[in-house]
Amino acid sequence: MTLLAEETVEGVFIFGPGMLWDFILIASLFVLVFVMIQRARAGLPIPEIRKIAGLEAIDEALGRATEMGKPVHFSPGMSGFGSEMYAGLAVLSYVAKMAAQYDTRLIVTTRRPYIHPVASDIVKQAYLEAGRPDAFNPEDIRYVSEWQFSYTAAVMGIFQREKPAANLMIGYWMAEALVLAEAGAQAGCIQIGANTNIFQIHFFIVTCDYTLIGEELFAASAYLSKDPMLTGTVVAQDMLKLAVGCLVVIGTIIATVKGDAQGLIDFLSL
Amino acid sequence: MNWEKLQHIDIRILYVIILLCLLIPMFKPIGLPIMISDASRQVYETIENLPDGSVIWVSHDTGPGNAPELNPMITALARQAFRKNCKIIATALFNETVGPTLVYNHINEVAQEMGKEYGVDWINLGYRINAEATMKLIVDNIAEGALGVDWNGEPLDKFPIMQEVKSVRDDVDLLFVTTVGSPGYSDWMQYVAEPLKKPLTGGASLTMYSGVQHYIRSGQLKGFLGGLRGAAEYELLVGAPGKGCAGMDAQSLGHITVIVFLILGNIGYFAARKQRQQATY
Amino acid sequence: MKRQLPLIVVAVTAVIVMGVKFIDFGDFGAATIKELDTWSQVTYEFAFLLGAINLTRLHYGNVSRRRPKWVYSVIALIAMVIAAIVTLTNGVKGEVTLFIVDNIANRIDSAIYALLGFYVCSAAYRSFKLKNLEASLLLGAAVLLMLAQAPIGDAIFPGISKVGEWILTVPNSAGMRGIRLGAGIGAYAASIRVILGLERSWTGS
Repeated sequence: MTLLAEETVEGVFIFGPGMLWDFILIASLFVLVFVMIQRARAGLPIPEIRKIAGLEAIDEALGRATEMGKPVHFSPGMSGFGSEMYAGLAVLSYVAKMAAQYDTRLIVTTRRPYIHPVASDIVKQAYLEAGRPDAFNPEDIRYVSEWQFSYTAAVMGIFQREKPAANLMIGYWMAEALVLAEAGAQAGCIQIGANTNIFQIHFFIVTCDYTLIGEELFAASAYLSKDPMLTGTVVAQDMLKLAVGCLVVIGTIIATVKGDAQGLIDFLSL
Repeated sequence: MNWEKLQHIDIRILYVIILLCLLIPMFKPIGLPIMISDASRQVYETIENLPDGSVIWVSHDTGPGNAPELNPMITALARQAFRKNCKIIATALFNETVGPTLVYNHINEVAQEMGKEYGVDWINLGYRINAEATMKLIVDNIAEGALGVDWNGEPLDKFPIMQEVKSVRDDVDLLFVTTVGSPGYSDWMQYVAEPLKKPLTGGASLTMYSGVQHYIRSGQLKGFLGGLRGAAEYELLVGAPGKGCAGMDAQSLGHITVIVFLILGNIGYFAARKQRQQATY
Repeated sequence: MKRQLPLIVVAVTAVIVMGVKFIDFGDFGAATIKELDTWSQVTYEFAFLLGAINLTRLHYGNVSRRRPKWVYSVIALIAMVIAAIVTLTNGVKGEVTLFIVDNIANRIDSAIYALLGFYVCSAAYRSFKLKNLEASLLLGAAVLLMLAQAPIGDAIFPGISKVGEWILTVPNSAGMRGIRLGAGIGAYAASIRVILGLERSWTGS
């Protein structure tokens, strides 16, 4: 929809050019989320999230590391603060709590300097909550490098030198995806990857033991926390997805019958 | 023979074989024929169908890693464009350190060979921070988007080409963009090509190529070149085989080696499975 | 308050950004976005300082305690100091800075990226096994596309590049569109969770 945003010179009502449907989409999601939150608060049933193997495997990966007495490596991905990063940090929060409980060493690497203090705080808090603040080692939460492949090389070095038993790469990944995942596999790690980047996701599917594909990453925090309010937002997201899916079907039918769906495209570009 | 071992071949042996398969054809080419794909032909024909003297915006949005795949595309494009007396405005918005130098070197090499002059027939605006803002600005005012200077810091007013080309909206006829990530083709499509209804084409690293297919089908990309193979096809269409074609034999042998190892790995896998089954009985 | 403040900052900023994006405020909207961009840039620079401190502390610790492979930490520290001094004295686009970037940093960058070529092979060799229907489909598509993408494919099986093109443009596009659509809407929902303060694990709570 935004692709054709600047084609329309005048916006509709008070909205900027091409922003009407963007607004409707976001507003619908807000409304759906609000309804689901109210249902959760009222104790009404919220559909459960289906089993996601990659998230179930986190406990297995941490258990393996604990048994072997080896560290766990976690990275929240290459992006800055965005939806993927927040999802990655939510998983980090869970992993850090588990690591603190199991007394397993957790190494976290970050590419963006501003993610580092946030990641550090999450892990520190997890150790505090587990009643083991002395076990928190700030040197295991590492800012590595802003440069994509310098980060990659450094993490490959960690795999070789510190031989983690588990490697969790949960976030947004680019060209380094395969290099890191293969280096992790060669170091003998059990690997869980998550990525929303369609250009790189197949590398994780091939090299990781478990992969969260696309939106599964965004369901992670609700899935792990089992919080009905967070689960409600995932349900809201699925309802909107269904609506967009219907729109795709309608567009396909119109395009098939009429030869093109330009009228619908123009309408959605308002 | 213990077939099981085939699924545990030392990975270093595979690496050495791959290295040899990539190196040998570079010194001793086999010269296998290259089929031209529809998407590459569409790129060539889109540019060929431009009126002589058109203006092409070229953005070499690459980093150092993917450059060998994408550089031959820029060389071939420059050759086709200059042959039609088209003018080129070049940028490189993905990587500050390599993009501007690469786009300059590859266009300059062809320009010198074909007697085209910097500042008259082509110009390099290089890298500008905040690609999205730059793209939005150049739509109506290229000088503003480029902060008034070319990549060497020379004021744009002194170049004759910039007297003719003021904005993408009014003066540019086609966008040719190479892509390895973001900023890349999707940003150019969103902020420039779609709003202005300008034809957009170019090429992507092979990793990204699978993801652009639906844009080719929808017509939002007027064809697209896929990796070194796409570059080689485009070189052949332009009639000047270069580094793209030279790399094709290496690619052929590399792919065959992987397939051979896949077969060996699977033989080992089935042998091991059969042995396990026999042991169970 | 330490946990609440970030949530408030996120919510307020999100409302402002969405407001000026959706509603046509003219120049005021553009100026607001520009101002927020500047703030973000300044914060980013400060974060860099934090990153540099963390990096120095880690590697200094490795060296002073003679941890295994501490010599690499020495190299990292020296490289960091040299890069900082050269950039500060010579400028970002200075001759010496560009020499270092072009001839050392970019070369190493390319070398690490080039590992991809080898790792693709070893990953494929290790993982592509005919274990079940899904794995067999993946293997079949991979082999077919590898042949289609190289001239030798057509030499052995004439016309295979056309089959490869069809796989890329039809089934591949369909799958990619599905993932993209799901991930896009998922990202919207994830952002709303953060804006509404439902997702607060990133604050450490």
